[in-house]
Amino acid sequence: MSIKENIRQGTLPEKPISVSEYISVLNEILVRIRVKLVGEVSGMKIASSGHVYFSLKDEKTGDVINCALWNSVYRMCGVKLEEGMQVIISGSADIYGVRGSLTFKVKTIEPVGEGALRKAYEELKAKLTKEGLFDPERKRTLPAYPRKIGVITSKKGAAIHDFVNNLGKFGCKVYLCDSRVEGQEAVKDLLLSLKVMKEKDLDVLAILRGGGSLESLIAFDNEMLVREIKNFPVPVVAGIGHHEDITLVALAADVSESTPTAAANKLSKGFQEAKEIVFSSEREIIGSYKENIHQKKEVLYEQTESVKGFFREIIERYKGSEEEIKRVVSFASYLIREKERRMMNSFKEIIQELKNSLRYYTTRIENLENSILLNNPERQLKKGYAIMQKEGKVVKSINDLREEEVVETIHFDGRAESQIKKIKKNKKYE
Amino acid sequence: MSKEDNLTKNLEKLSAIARWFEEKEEVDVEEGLQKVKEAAEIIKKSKKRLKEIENEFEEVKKELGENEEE
Repeated sequence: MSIKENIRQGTLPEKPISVSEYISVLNEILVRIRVKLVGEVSGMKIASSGHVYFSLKDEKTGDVINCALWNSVYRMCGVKLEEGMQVIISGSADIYGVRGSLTFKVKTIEPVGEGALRKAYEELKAKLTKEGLFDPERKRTLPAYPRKIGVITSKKGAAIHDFVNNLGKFGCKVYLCDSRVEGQEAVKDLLLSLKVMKEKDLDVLAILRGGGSLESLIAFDNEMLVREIKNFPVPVVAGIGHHEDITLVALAADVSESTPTAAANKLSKGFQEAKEIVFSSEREIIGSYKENIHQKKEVLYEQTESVKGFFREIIERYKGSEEEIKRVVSFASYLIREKERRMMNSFKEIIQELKNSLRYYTTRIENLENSILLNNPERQLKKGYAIMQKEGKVVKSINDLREEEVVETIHFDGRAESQIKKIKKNKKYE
Repeated sequence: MSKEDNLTKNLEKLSAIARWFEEKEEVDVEEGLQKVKEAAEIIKKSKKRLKEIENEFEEVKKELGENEEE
């Protein structure tokens, strides 16, 4: 059975063990007993290495316990220890084998009481202010449109949810580094988180936590943390709730807001403004476009009216010309018809003349023919008439004849000689 | 157109023959007959000529003034 099994069973080991072995066993047990102790600092010594050694004395009993505060821890805690100071320390004890003495290894240390904390806060604030860490001119401007945002806070707290919910949907990438944010123990986590975040490609870093007492927010009044934030490669936004005064981390940050929600709004402000600009520009562009279209329409309308007027005028002119042409054509047609009519009239006159002329000739010839036929001696002779001649002359009167005279009568088909036997005067056609 | 076909001349000739008969107190039968024969010949030619003229006239009317006749 090993010594550890003896210890667990509460039995005495059969064989003795070395002192060193015993101390080692004790230390294994002691290291697991982590506690917070409250007491008064006494017999404080700071070694050349920077480590701090002191005794923590129980005020009531006067009991003491030796404490060792390593330089790195002391610096990290940001507390300036003084003799007689009431402090709370956390850590665990072990036995220093060489001396056989028990030493409490301090992991965190913080002053006890509001007054002490306030005093420490004021002193540190004054010191850092003097150094110019909070100077406004040292504040860096936040990027207008941060896309890669590092966030240091507790993933279990409400802060991260408030922050993300209020960041808006602008396509930002949030890298969360989970860290304790409560009490002095948070300092170490916060410093480690800053170290991690330094390695990341970020546009901005946000450190978040809700409000609380000076004691609960003690980590955010830590000098080392303030310096780290001041030296952080990209701008830092603090979304840390207040105690009575603003925390030193918030003072050191480039932008400080009192809540995670406000910090988120600050980071998304550029996007929100851009969105508003886009919306207003859109309205302006559409408005001016509409106005432009309206103006163009007006111009087009005017031009259309002008063209219409122009064509109306042309059409009116054309109509006028058309009427004129019609009049001219009509007049020309009238002239032609008139010419034709006159020509036809002349023609008719000529025809009539010719007709008259023909009729004249015909009548005239007929008349002459009748006249000549009437005078044709043969015609009379054929009717039975005869021409009496005496001595070669036509006998026209009975007085030209004497009884017993020989006369010659001409007939249509011959001649005859006759002798007048008796003359009967004034006896016609008896 | 021959001289014989000239209507005006023929008319003059016929008129002359007609006058001859009217003015002659005593018509010589032989001469009168001769005149009548001459006149008959002239009349015959003249009628023929008149007919020709009339036909030509109708042709011209048809060509130029058919519509006018309507």
